[in-house]
Amino acid sequence: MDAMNTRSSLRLLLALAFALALCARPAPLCAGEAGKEPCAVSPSVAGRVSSVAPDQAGAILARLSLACDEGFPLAPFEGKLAEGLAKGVAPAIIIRTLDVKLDAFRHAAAMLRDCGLQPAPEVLAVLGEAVFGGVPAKTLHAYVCGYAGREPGPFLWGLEMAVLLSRAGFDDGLTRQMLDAGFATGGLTPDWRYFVRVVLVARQRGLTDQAVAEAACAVLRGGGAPSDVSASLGFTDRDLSGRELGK
Amino acid sequence: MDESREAEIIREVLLGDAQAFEALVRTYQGPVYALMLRNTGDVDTAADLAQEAFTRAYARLETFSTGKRFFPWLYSLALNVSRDWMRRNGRDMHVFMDDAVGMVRVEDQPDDRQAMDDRLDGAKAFDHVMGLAPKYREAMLLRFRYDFSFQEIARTLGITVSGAKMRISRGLEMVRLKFTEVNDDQEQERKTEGRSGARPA
Amino acid sequence: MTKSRNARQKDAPARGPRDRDTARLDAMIADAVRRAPEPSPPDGFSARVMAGFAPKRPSPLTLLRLWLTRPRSVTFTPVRLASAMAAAMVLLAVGFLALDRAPVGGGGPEGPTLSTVRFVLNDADASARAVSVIGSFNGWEAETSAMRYDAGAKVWVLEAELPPGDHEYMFLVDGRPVADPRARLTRDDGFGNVNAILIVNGRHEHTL
Repeated sequence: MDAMNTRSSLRLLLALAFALALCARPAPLCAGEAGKEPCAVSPSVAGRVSSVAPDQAGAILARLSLACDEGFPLAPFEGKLAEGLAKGVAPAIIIRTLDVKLDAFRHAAAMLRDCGLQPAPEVLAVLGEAVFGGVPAKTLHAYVCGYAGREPGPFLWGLEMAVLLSRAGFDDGLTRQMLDAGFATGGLTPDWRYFVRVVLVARQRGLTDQAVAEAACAVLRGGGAPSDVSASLGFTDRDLSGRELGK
Repeated sequence: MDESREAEIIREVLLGDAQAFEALVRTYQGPVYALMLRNTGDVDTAADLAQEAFTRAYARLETFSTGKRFFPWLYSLALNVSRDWMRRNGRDMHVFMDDAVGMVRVEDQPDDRQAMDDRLDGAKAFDHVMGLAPKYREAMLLRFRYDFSFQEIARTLGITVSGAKMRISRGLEMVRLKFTEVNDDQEQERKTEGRSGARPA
Repeated sequence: MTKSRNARQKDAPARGPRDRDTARLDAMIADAVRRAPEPSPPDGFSARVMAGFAPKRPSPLTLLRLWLTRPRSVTFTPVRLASAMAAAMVLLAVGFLALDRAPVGGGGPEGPTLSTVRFVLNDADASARAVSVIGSFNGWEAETSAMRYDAGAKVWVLEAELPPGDHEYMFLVDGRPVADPRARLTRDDGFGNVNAILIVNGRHEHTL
């Protein structure tokens, strides 16, 4: 029995080494399409898959392979796989969850195309995770189609901001007011992605979302940063530490 | 089709031989098309949706787990295609299912005079099954027509194994009841006619 | 029960006369379902389906999977075994290198600004034997983020250096995943648990 296990693990390791060897050089086999980044599973994930029975490892790799073929970034799928293995989730459930995630990314890609955008990997990563995480399609669709013509940078930052706000249950209408103000003045910088932190602390202080949004709109119109919003609401950067937020 | 032959075909397709897939299409086109026809009632739409189901299966063939039967996997995809279509066309699956409980068409109800013959008529039994709510109907077809195990039915329909068993036994019970009802009604009628002596020629 | 897939017999066990009647009727129904004619798809259906398919170009992962699940068994000769071992060792070495670069506690001088975040889990009875933080920031690796028990405060503690971003995490208490009860922003992990979301904005978090 042990010998059999050893043999099957060796088989798997050998196979993984084979895949890595293939992908270590820029062979056309590794590229989904010409010009695309090679798609290869990372060594640490490959190592962890070897703890699963070969059949199930095969099924898991099939999902990663499909993500690759469909042009999705691989990291979100590898991350979910590593997470499932770390939590001791049954391989069958990991496989099912990877399928759900694949569908979420397909949905995200279709949404981008619907709004006339090419599914760029970094946008797809945020949008796919948002769909998978249960952010309402209506919210996402309104953002993607509503701001489709914006610069790629602010478009992505605004998307991350909107997704996190939606997860915190912030009103879509208020989010839109802030985004409109930000896009109108070009004031949407990378710092605004995590604006939800200000919202969470403000709520703890008894401030309404409406008041936060109004302060944010004023700051955005003046080209300010989220820290200016917290200052105008009467609390400091220090209150926004990791300890305040999560602990 | 033999399972090992299926597995062989799937490997060939994954390695780049698209044409090998046609053997699977030919084997399963009947049941997939019939499913779509049951759910849409329109031959052209049914053909389009059946095509969509096979297209989806081809695109996602990498996710098929070797060692399992291909047909239940294909059937699950086909059911999803059919559900998507119903949603797009404002026929939400739940509403559709609830309405379908009363969906036995008038012309399917056995004529009293034929009731006794119907008892022995398999075709009528099949009509009764077709008249059941889709959730019972599909489970019975998977079980009796396509020889799915309860586990395969559960996986295909997204329910528990005991849920699958329940649907089969409830489905059988409802169809049995149709026969019994028809028979009882007819007995009742005969007695009435016998007393009045007014039986027409 | 036999190995036969004959559903009629399996689904309708007959006992008394009434049961036998029921079983006969059930068998008839099952048989009717089995034999009823099936509508045929339009002529040329399979050709129409096939017309849309481009041949697949298998990725290395697909090749790997097919290799892995191919219906033959592999036997290792001593020479082959040695090369398999070597390949395995190389792979593990690469794996360790990758782990060494994991962000927790790392971060080179030219890397992104890291912020110190303190994870705390209450354990008044000191009932847990080992607690770690697993999260998107450490590749969900328990080994790299073990917490230490602060007997005075009766809490498990870990201070970690995290890059800016929204990170998901859970505690692993004696091998079991446990959600952070104090998280204000959470997310379903798709496996039936809830991950906490921790947002780090490097620019404003130099100290705690």
